[in-house]
Amino acid sequence: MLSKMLLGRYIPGTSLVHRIDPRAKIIAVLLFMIIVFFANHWTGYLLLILFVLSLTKLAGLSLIFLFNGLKLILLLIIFTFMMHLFFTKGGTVLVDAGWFTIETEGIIRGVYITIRLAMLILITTLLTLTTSPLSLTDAIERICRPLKALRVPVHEIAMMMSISLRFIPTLMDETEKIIKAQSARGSTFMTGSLRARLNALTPIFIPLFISAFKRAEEMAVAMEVRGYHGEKGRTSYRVLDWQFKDTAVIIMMVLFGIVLFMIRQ
Amino acid sequence: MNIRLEKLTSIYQENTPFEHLALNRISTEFEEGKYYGIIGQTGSGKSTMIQNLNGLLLPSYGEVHVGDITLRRRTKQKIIHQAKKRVGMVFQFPEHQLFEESVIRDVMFGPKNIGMGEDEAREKAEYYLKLLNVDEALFDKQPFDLSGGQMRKVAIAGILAMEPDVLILDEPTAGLDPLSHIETMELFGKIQKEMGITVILITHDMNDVYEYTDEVKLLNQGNLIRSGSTKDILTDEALLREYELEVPDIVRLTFDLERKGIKFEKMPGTKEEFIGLYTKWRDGHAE
Amino acid sequence: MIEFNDVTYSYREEDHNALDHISLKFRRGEWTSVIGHNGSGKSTLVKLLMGVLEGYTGEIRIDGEVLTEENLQDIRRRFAIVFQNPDNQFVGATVEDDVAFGLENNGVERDEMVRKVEEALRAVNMLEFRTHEPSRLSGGQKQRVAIAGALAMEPDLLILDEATSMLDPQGRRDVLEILGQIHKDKMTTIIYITHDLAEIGVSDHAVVMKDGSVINEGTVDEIYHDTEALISSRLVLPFTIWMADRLLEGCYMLYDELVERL
Repeated sequence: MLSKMLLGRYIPGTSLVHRIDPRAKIIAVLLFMIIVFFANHWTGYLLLILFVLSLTKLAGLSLIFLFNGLKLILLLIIFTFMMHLFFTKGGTVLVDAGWFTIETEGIIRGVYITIRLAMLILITTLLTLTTSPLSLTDAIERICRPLKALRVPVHEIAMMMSISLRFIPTLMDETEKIIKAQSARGSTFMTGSLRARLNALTPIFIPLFISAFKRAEEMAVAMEVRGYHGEKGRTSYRVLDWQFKDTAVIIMMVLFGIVLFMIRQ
Repeated sequence: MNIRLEKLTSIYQENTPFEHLALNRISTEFEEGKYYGIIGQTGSGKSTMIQNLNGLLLPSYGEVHVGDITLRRRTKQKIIHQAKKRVGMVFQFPEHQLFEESVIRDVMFGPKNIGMGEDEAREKAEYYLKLLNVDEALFDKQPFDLSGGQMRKVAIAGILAMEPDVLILDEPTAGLDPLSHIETMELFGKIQKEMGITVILITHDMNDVYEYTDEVKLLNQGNLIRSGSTKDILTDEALLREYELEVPDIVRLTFDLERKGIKFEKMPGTKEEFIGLYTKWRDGHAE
Repeated sequence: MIEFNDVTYSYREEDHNALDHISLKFRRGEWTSVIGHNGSGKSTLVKLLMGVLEGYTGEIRIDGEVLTEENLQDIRRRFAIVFQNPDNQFVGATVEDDVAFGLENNGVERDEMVRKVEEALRAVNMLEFRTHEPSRLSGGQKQRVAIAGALAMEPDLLILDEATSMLDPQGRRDVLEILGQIHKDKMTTIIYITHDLAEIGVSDHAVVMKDGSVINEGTVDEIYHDTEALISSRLVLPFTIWMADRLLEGCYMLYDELVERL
């Protein structure tokens, strides 16, 4: 189940979408979030769908794969549609069951909102699927750099994010090992009352915390002796290389927005 | 109690692109009271195999018989719990599993989980802590205040106190200094003899396997290559070389001397035995 | 190059001295092994040198200059250290990022950084793994990356603090082999801390510690020769030395020589 979840996962690849500068991708997604609201009738929505579908194609991802990975989200989308179906009033009354009515406006609004929501989810999923968490962190750090003027510790936050990302697999392994070790000592997490199950978590969490603290401590010493002293005078090995194609992506996005705006009714 | 594997097959992440065959139709047996070594390169399936022996993993296909308990693909938790009672497992770096507020309570955790009462669990805990030379003054201390070596002993006591019929040791000496390494191996040897339990050892150290075990199972890429007496398998230089395993020091030296024309009446099992055989040979050939 | 003069240190919670009037010299270009049982004080030595611990008596001199709080930062830049746990010193998200970490901290220009990272990874035979994440590496490979990270800094001194103790035999052999190669090629000064006598064979000079004191010092031959001192220090003789000691009245030799002489 979880292994099929696509939210927040990264699938390595070399497609054009993969190769776009992560900063350009983030900015484009932010623009898209605004553009989505320009569409106000069916041609606009059709264009939105076509746009996202062709991006998916460009990224080399299959729709079925995306659909399977986003099944859980589908529930949310259906829920939204239902809300509009029953509660948005206007137009012709289609069904009148006395205690509730379904009216044409409800269907139309429901479809539109659903498309909006679905496209937003798809485009952000496309972003995380085609961009490694590390490049995302890098990009966020660069984009947020101006915030430093407001004394936001951008560099420190980015460093924390990147170290956390690096330790996720290590901690996952460790969790699995400790669960197995305690389970071999006859500890049961799957059976018994809720209280018993919660109690069974203590033997897992305490060793995990202790080891995480120890790791953090050793990591801090290792960073210090390797000369880490914050951002001052620090250079960067990773560079993000903004090319013409990245500017082109932003321009395209803006143009797309203008087109959608023009065909508003 | 014997453990019998019948066509045990283990597949990780079945039906996904990451599918990986970890064990391939393995049929073999672990007999009561013997000391076994499981050897093979990293990724040969050693870990997967031992985790199938107490239900931490269930077979994808085939069966594992732990005494009269049968483990297969969809065996219920209740039955698995019975298997865990009988097969104790000391993981690599076992000190990482300590969590209780005191040493004694941590050792009592396993025994209580398998149904022992407070008093019985305490009695067993004290007995095994003493057996492992953990000072009584430490029993009420926090386990995390102890030295690394002592923490490991406490963790091992926690498994022994469950009094399993079979004890599985996964790299029990990893990270220890050479002297603690010897002490730990001696201790398991002693426990195996005195308690008459089955011990299954996974290690990279061929010298330990040669010195302490009775039987060896050699795995490679999920297949059982050889199963037999330690003396046979660890003196088969060609076989060990084929699977990139080291020849034990004593065996290597004995063979090298043999090539020089110094031939003993039998293959020495320990360093002391080698010294005995060599001095005997030397005295016999003294001019 | 490095001198400990009558250095004494004790941890606050303990009543005996962790280091007891130690006087030692580490010479430039040499590989010095420091061998001792757990608690013998060998790691305390490194912690004092790196300024992780403070409050000792006596003095430590680096190239004649006394180590003080003021010059500590500068000295750290010239030393590199590899610790015991392969996981807890891997800062970067990938192999190359980790090797670059120290260079980034020192403000090295990007072009130079790229060159140095590549060179260092080649020296430890890890170039083909440059884009790998740490979770896909074995312990031995991670330690080799840590060594590359140290080498990239072109340090005057490379310290290994029980860097192989958590590795399997293969990883241990790989790390030792690569260190030997680096020492030979670049004449890097190495301090190698270990509890395993079998690992000191390649060193130029060795120091045996016990309970905070130096109990023997000399070439590897000399160290191995005094088996009694080693055994009393709770050390375990390597197989060849043990055999030679029992059968040939204690002299240091390599395995082939043992076979030859028996």
